[in-house]
Amino acid sequence: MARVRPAVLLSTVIAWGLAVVWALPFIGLVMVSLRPYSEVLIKGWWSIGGAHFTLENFKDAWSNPMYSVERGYINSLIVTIPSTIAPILIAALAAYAFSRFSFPLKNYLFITLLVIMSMPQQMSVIPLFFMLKELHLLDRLAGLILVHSSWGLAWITFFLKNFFDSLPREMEEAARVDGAGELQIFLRIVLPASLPALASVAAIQFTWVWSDFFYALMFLISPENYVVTLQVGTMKGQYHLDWGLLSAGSIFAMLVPLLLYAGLQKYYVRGMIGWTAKG
Amino acid sequence: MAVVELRNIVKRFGRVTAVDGVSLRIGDGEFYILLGPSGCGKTTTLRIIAGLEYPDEGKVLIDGVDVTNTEPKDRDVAMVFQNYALYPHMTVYDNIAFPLMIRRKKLGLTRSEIRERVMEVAKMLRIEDLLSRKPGQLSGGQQQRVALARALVRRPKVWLMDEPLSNLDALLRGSRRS
Repeated sequence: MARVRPAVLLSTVIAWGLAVVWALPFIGLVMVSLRPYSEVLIKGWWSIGGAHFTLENFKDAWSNPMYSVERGYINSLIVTIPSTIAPILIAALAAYAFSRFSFPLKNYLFITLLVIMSMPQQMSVIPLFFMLKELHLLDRLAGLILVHSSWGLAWITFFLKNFFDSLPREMEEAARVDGAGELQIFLRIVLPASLPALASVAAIQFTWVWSDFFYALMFLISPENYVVTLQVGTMKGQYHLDWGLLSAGSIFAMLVPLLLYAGLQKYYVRGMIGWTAKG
Repeated sequence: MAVVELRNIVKRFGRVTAVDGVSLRIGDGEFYILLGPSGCGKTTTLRIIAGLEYPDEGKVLIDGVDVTNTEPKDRDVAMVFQNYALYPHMTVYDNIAFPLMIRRKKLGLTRSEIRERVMEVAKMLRIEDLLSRKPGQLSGGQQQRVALARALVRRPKVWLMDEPLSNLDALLRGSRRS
């Protein structure tokens, strides 16, 4: 048997310890969501002896008209899908221009992008609120789509510009000599060659928009417009808190980003560490 | 084929003069080789003929027509790049067919005619069995043959090749030259 070095053993034990600590809240959440409220209240979620498992909390969270996760899911999808696709399409064009062309004030515009990226959401919320009110887009999903798309434009442009910078220019030059025009080069060469980066961006932006609570809370007023993160918030009553129900709702809310992460894990991780890094 | 003429071409990159007053005339059907140490401006000269760089001084003529400021796509030249510049998301077949597909209407070619021409050039370069692969699945020599095929399939007025045979094995190199 191969001998395991003490340093490797120690780091493995520490890594497992951290993983368990990291996963513990999620394990607790699953346990609470799968058991009757009274049982969790009396025994605690960690006590497994004589536990009864049920899907009642999930059924209730999904379809109760007071706080329907189903309605929240539909609203979240209506907001998240266009808020992912639209900024990627627009930012890809902008990023290509920043990466390949010279134009007046290019550097100043790029610095503006960086400044926008570093701005906290809270700073923009009051002007955005009044702007949406003027546009009659307050309390409308379209308004939230507009806000998320605009907010996403800056970082997606920055991210894709860095990726386009790393693409070999000879590929585009070859297409130019082969007879392709600028738009054909962008659509037929640059975009398809950038699919892994586009998938990274899509995964991150989708997760970001889906998980957003702050903007949704500020710009959506009517409960029928609530996205899933807000619907989960409504499950908490003023005097009564059903932890089982809240846990089931939370699991529903995180399910889509989790599935997306599982499906696009490679691109997600690549997007986080950056495409220019080797690995 | 065509006559290519360079008249007193000068190209500067900042303070560096990459091409300094080059004049030459390449006859119709002529096989012309630029030789010189690295950094002497061979690639830049080729890029100026292709239209990928515009000279600071001088003129480029193809068949007597001044193309100095003409876009590469309107010059009817094909080029093999030193690092091959294959399209990584396309199969070998699509890479070779790309120049024909992109100007299919202009050339009046059907898809089957394109297929015929791709197969012809693939056979000549012995890459018929690689047509469904992506460039990333090829060796350096195979990639170079694909780049060569992409230029040969075009039948343009001018073929420009930047170190086109450096990665080919000796046997194939001999047959390509001939």
